[in-house]
Amino acid sequence: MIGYQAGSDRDLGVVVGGTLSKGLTIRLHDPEHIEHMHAGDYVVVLGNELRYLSVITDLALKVTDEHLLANPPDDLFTRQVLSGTATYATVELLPTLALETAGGKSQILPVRSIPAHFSRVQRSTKDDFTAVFGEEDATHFCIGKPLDSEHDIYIDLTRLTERSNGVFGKTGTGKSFLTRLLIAGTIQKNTCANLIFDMHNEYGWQGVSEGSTGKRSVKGLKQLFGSRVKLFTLDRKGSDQRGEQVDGDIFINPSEIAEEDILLLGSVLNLRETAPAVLSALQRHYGTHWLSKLVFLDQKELDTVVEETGANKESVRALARALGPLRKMSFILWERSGMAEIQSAPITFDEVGEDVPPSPVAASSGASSQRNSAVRDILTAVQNGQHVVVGFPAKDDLLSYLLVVNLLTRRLREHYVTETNRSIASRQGRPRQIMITIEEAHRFLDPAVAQNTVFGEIAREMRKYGMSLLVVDQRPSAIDDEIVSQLGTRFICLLDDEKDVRSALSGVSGATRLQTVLASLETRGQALLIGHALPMPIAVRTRAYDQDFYRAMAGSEQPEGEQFQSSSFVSRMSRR
Amino acid sequence: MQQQVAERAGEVIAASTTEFTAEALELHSAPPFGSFVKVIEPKRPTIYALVSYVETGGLDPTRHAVARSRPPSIVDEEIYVQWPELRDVLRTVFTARVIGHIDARGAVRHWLPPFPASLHFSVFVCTTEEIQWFTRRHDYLAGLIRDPSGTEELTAAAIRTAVAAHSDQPDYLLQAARSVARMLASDYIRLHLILQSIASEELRQ
Ligand SMILES: Nc1ncnc2c1ncn2[C@@H]1O[C@H](COP(=O)(O)OP(=O)(O)O)[C@@H](O)[C@H]1O
Ligand SMILES: [Mg+2]
Repeated sequence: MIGYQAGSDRDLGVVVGGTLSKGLTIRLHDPEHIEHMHAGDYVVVLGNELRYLSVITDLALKVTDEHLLANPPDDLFTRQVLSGTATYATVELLPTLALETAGGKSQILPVRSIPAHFSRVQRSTKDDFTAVFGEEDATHFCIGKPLDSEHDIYIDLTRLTERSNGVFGKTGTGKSFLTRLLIAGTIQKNTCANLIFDMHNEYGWQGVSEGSTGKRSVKGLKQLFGSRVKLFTLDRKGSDQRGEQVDGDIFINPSEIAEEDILLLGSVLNLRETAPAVLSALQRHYGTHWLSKLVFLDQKELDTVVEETGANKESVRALARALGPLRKMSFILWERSGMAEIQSAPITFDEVGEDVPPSPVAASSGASSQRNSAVRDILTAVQNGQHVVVGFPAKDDLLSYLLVVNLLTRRLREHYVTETNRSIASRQGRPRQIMITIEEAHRFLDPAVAQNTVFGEIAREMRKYGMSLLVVDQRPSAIDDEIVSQLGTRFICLLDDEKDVRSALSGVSGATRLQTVLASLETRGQALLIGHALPMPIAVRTRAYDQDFYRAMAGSEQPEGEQFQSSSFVSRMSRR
Repeated sequence: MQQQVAERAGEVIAASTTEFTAEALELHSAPPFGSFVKVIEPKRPTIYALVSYVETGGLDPTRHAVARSRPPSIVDEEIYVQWPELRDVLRTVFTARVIGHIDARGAVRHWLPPFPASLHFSVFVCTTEEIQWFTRRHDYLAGLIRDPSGTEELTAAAIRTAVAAHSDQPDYLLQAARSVARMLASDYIRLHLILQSIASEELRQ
């Protein structure tokens, strides 16, 4: 530091201006130090009574006289003379919190004042971070370290699970790793039940880390937490090939599939505008059999259906054709297995009885006992204090994913609403708080469908029924803005698209300034954390998902009764 | 550094708060432009000043000197040998810009003294130690820089003199220059003039 009477060696500069709404301007003592200041770094402004924890949002080079710019010095001596006298550097800060320290205890206050001129500015210390983010305890979980220091940052998992949350970032930035960390945290701290729709099969059994040294597999939740996590699959063959330790299969009764489950698939199946009308006409007429009827419709039946329902023939035909892909979904227990169509479909049900939907495991059970089966299985696990991961076919089967996620969540929600209302009436315990993780969240929450899907409702109503979402998405701009702004806590990795950046930050105060911080994140393993579970926004290097992490999680795998591990849902259901 | 004794350089013949004029003891022997001089008076602050102007001319301001050389033999020094009375009718006077004083407690003050120099008192050239002591800080330059009569030359000369008196010359030069840069933060053109004439070629690469 050249020639400036600094208060302390740790002083970086002093406050030279600012406003409460737009933040503070700091003049650096040593302009050469500018290279060591980064957007997203934390500094503290020493006010007379308060310590203002602030995040760096911008950096600037200034001159005292514009003539200098027209005639820049060409020698080292003049540069040295001018550095810090006629040329200087400023740093823009956004104060995020004020710490009031009295009698050794720090109290966190919202920022409603600003420090006076020439208040000193220093790097924040471990004590500052501890005062703000707390320490490891029953609800606080280490999520990473600030970009510029080695202090651990903790998030409050109880607050996290109280509301719906989002993990955003473009592909490969670390969303899935961060999501798995968060879920592992909630399992370890037991702050909620989890239902994870594991679209890419990376959470349940094992994930893949694609580092500079090649691919490496990492432990999934089941490997970390043993019997506390139940792994169900839609694709037993794929799961077996991957060597997963599966707890059961997911089967769906066609009767469980509702109109809205089909309508959500609209854009993928290219449904016509007439689809909703035809759907409700068929449902009115055929009750729970409407879908089977439609999916396995042949020419003969088409005429009957048109006659019976009065629906437009062409529309019915188009809809039936559009729903064709559903026939091939081996997890749907189609009742009409004897029909010609099913022969061509790549599913092999043993034929047992007349209309009984056969399945390898459920061969002896009655059709009625399999209603709600997958949902009930999930609920049982949740009630047992376990967590559920649902695995999907390995090839990107968006259709199965959308259908199953929507259906299971919808059924789960019906249960939660009923149970919650009953518990209020009977003044008994509410159902266990559950957090539902969905990848490709915009498929369920885009503005066109969010109004009607169960996900929109869950995201909007917060903790009323004890359900929350953890939405994971690379395109937040495709999600209904209203829903993004309702999210309690956001974990935002690097985003390129300006639209996505704006959406990811919608409803956040100081959003425009945090944009600079967001843009400065590295391409992987860093995230900006904002919201309910944190006292203030902070950019972090996410906690490493490695052997140390496994060790930290170990000991949380309290073995439950063996029967949970071995029982598949169908066999358990049939015992009822 | 050898202990020097302050050398008498002249006698005050006109004085004001901001400057004084002295007649040099000998013709053509005023202290150099930009050198530090002082006037010591009993019970009064010792006044420090910078030689800002030197002039040689006739005692009688109404009479101009006339050319006297007779080449090839009588030129330059020879003229004074030929006409020794010239040393009585000609004189050298110098003006010094007051830059500070040493107060009653012996402290260096970089601001104007309460009283001007008294007429006919002696003007001394400051020793190296005195210059070093007086120029430990650079605030005395502020008065020069603020002077509306544009004194980049004098400021630069003062800094050169001060630098020469300090042992850690490159560092002292840098600090002095940075002080000036702060004083002239809003006037790069003047600053540039000063920087150009204080930095040696080596320093400026
Ligand atoms: N916390 C972390 N610990 C270890 N590796 C990480 C972490 N975060 C990101 N990575 C690395 O970044 C890569 C991409 O992360 P991933 O979560 O798969 O990205 P996304 O889901 O956003 O496409 C991973 O394969 C892994 O190597
Ligand atoms: Mg991913």
